[in-house]
Amino acid sequence: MSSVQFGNDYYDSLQTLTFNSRPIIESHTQLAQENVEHAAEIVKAVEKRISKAIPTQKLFALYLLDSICKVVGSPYTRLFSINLYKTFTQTYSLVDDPTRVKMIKLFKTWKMANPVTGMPLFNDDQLDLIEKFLIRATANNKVEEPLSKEVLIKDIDDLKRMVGQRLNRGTDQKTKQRFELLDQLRNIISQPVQIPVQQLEVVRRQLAGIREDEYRRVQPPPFAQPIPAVPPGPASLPNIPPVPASLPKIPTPTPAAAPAPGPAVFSTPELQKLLGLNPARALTPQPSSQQPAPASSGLVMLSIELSQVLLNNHKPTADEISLIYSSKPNQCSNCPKRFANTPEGAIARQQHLDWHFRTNKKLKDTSKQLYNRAWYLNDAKWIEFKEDEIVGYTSDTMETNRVVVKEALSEEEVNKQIVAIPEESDNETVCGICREKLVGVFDDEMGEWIWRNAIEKKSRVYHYSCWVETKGNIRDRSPERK
Amino acid sequence: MATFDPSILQSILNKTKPESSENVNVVEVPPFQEWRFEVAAKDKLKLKLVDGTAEIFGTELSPNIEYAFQGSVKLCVFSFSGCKLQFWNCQPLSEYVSEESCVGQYLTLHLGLEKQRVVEGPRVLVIGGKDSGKTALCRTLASYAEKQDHQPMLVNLNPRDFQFVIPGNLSATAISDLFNLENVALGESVTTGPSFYHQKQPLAKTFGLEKFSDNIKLYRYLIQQLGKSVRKRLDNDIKVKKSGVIVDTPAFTIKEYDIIEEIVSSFNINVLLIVGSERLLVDLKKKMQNPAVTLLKLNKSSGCVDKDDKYERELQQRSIKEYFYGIDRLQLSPYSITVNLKDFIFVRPKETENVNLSFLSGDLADDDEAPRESVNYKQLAERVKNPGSDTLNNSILSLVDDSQIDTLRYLNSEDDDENLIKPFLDSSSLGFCYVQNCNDEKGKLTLLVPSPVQQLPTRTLLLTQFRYHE
Repeated sequence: MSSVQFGNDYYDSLQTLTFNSRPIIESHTQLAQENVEHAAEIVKAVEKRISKAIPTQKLFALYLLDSICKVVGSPYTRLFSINLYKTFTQTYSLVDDPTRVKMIKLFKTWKMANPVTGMPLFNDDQLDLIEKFLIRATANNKVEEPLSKEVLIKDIDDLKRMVGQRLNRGTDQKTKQRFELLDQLRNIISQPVQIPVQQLEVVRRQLAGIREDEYRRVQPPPFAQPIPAVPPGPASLPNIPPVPASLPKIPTPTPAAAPAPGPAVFSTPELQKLLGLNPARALTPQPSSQQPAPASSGLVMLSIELSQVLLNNHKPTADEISLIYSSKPNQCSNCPKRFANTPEGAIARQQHLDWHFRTNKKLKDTSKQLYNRAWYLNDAKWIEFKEDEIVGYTSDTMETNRVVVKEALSEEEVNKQIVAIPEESDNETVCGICREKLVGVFDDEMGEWIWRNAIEKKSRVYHYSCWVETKGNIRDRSPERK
Repeated sequence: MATFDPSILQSILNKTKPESSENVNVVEVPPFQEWRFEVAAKDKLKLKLVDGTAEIFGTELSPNIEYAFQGSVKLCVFSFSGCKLQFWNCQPLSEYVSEESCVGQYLTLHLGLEKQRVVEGPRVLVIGGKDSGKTALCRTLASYAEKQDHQPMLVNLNPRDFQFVIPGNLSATAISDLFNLENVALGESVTTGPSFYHQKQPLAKTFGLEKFSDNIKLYRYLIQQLGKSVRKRLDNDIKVKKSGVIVDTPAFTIKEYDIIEEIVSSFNINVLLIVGSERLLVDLKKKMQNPAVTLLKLNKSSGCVDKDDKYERELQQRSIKEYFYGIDRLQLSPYSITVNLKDFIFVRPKETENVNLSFLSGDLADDDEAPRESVNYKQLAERVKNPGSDTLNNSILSLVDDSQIDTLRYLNSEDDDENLIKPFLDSSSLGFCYVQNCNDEKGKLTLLVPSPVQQLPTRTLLLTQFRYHE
């Protein structure tokens, strides 16, 4: 029998392979094994069968290919390798999704090193080409799948695994960032809220972009490493090909032009659209097409008459917003307070800065001085109270008085206030106000032991500074209380 | 069903890591949107404005300040221009950017009110359901007015809330400088020390109970008293008068219409803002005959969070702590003082169970038209007969000014009559103290007081329902 005849018969016989029949595959594998001299024709017959079978039956012929190669090995592996990329990819493009998943599983087994030879089943170049194809195909393929949060979450998990592997090889900031962002993205998507399909779609495309980028980043390893086997059994619908731990460089250029790697993935137009964000706009105040805000707000406000219609429909214009922001362009460097670009504004600003200066000085000294909350005013005093006593800078005010009192109390002055230590007393005593120690010192000029910064009232000793500070509240010490 | 908010995604995706080693997060808030965040009780979130302008309830953020938000805090940072924020030190319990902000509407409202600030500014009453954003609105309006060089009078009538005071008080405070965002009570009342912003001078009327409904008659009486003082202050102070009044309230319903009317007349309200409740607006429109009052409805902010009791209590305890001890960066030193129980007159608000009967009777007209002089003071407050550890321990006492009270007479007797209660309720609080210990045998009371005094500035103390634990 001629090889051609054998090949034709073999092909005819394969017409029975219309379902996943183990006996048919085994018998045809055996035929291939027993007729190695016709190998070229058998390979052609199997390839023809794969090509001509209706899509739903192509897989079984592929299984036969697989079986022959695994059981018989050479020369079939070499022969099938020649057209393997074409055979596999053409089939892949014609079959339905479940079949594709099975093809991917099949492909994974091909990548595994043969325990005897330590080599993969087929020629590396072909396998690499197929792998590359699958990567792109799965990225594209997902468009046809019903998009769901579950799919996306799986996708994210898979990407996280890839990025995580990169992280393990060495931490760089961008990789870490990408990992965390994926994490956050996953949290968001897994929240129990309805996400519009369009949004999911954009997220999906983003993920595909990240995936491509991740694949590009995978460097060829110095040595081919065996890939862990995927457990056999019915596939549980993995939409994504397994992540290869290594992906040797391929000679053929990738069809898709490689975009800039790294975070660029996160700033594609789709994402911007998804986010409804124009970063340029977000970062800079919206330019007002109108004239700069007038220093006096009178003009703008004329247009505002308080009504429900206004409240419901009006969106503040740039000019109106400027009333509480840019109409006072000079912001204090210590606090958010703003000042107008007018002579009055300049004066107010100067006074305000002076106040900060005094206050900051005191704030630095908080360790030396104890502060406490003052009593509130009673009705009569409150009614007479003017805010200028707090915020006024020129008038003789309560607060400035306080400041004056404290600032007037220079160390020199405070130390002039002395109390001679009575003979029966210890060298140390406690201030009746702040409860801190007063320690006696020997004064050479007077020739006796004294307490500095001290005052004696009604046979009790206080810090002079404490006394001055609390003296203001006359009610505390009104005589009728004694 | 909850809807998906793309801005949440955005907030996540936009994050980029700065070069610094510290775990700093960056949020970009687009124009007219707000970043909402929530800090856990034990955490401290640090926040900085990096780019653009931003505000929290109308108070602008300074790009030069690292803000620290400690403990249970739920806030939002709004930006008209768009802004970039950094936060670090802890991960918020939740955080996201929302495009549903009411602040644009608040500014429109402010501009409308601003127009009235000529001689006598607007008197605004804000009412709405629980956690509808009333306080946020009041703060924003007061902040905007302050930004435009006004000194609005901010009034709080919610005894569970607190503005420059501790809970249990009705207060009025002229706002002449920015709020301190790090302070739970909006900022500092006057202290002897320095502060980051000018301190505020509140007038406080102690109600002493947690809910206004615990004694509606007392509540209404104190509203009248506070209103009287505020009106007098406005007459004395043209600047505050020109700025107007902003009144914050507890959650009223139409059932409390008579209280609303009480407030309207006490504070001469001319703008009534209803937050988030169409129903309340319709009901009020039917009842409110006063043509001088403009009723306006505002949307409830989607950022409003329900304040559960625990959260509210935490804040209350914190405000009491801050009253005595200040905030982290501005610590205050309270003092302990021991006094004789017999030297003081204790009064407490009555928690009358039947206090609601007058409202249930349906004969509101009678009640309203009852002459004010015929107030039955016995229904409002009572003298504490035998003050001792069981009633006083751990309680917060309000030091009610006694300058209008004949203290000698009442110290020497157990009398509990109108001549004590009326001037007592008409007087404001000078501050608060906390009962650290009450020794019944020795008749001694150890108090934590805010100021170093040898004796208290008053002899009349109001025993509040509030307790504090150090």
